[in-house]
Amino acid sequence: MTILSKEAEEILKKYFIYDELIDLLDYDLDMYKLQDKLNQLKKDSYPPNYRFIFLLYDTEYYLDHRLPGFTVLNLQRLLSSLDIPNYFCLILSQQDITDKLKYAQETQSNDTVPIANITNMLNWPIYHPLDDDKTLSNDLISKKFITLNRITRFHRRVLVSLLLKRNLADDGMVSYNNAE
Amino acid sequence: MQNNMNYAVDLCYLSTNTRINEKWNLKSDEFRAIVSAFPANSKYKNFFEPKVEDAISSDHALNKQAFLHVVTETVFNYPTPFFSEKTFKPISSKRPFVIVGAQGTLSVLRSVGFKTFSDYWDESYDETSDPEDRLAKVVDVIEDICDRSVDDLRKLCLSMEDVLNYNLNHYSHNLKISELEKFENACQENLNPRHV
Repeated sequence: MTILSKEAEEILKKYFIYDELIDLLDYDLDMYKLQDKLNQLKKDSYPPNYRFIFLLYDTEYYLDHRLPGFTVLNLQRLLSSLDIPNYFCLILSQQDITDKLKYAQETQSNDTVPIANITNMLNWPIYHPLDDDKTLSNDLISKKFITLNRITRFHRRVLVSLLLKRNLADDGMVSYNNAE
Repeated sequence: MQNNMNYAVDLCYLSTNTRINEKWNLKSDEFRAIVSAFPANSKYKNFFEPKVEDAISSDHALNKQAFLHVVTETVFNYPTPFFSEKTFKPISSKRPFVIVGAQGTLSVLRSVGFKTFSDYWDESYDETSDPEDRLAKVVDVIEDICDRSVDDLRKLCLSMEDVLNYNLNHYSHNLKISELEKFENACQENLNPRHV
């Protein structure tokens, strides 16, 4: 579940009318559930500042980097099938996906404008700094580097295998695939 | 809600419950040989981490023990930079970092006000589009760091203190303020009529 900062929600409420924030993370693995949701929310007409507001702060599944990811493609197809104009849709995301949304509009809809995108890093708190940490504590350094790779991913595997091959791992703190 | 909806629209389906397409091919035989010697299900950990209840403080204490943080972001071969909590751990612990992430990750970090470490090592990996070359360049940076003594790295860390303090302060206070300002402007702009 994505948590948007309270202040960001206040700004949204100041400018837009919306029924709810729709977190695509709740739907991206089964977008037909989103079809049900949008069908419930769609209206015959919308005030000018009404928006369907979607949160897309997680990763997307891309088959090809030049094309939109599955979630964006599916969303555009659903909006078109339900006759919800892109004009009244807004995606909040960390990444700038305007080119992907334009491609989706052009290939998956007859709409004249793409879904709008506002990028930001307001899906806080990402990670809390410790308030009492005022010191550099460089004297605590006993290892040259650290890389923690609890969950396996291919790039992590390549990295750790290179560190081992070049005999660098022992100079650092290295973990791989140690999720409990 | 209509229970018997006709799902007429064709949607893309994932065969697995994943949001990430990790596939990318290693181009060099040397890389392929190195990676195949370390199978995907291998387990590795070369340090001891005591189990404690306060995970954040424990994490922080561990992070302080190392000089360079090699952040392996959630995605690597990906069309746009992606930031998880991993990128912000070294910033919170006042340590320098390299990021094994999508091309342009450092560039986006700088665009939202953070400082990176090009005065101290080669950060051209961030502009390198080929994933294998990008990763190899990151490992070159790690190798350069490993060529120095721990004592040298403590001194280097001290010489970076202004940057490390700046980054923590920016993360704790200014980033959110500037992001909210940009966000409000963008919301306001979104209300302007959009044309083809």
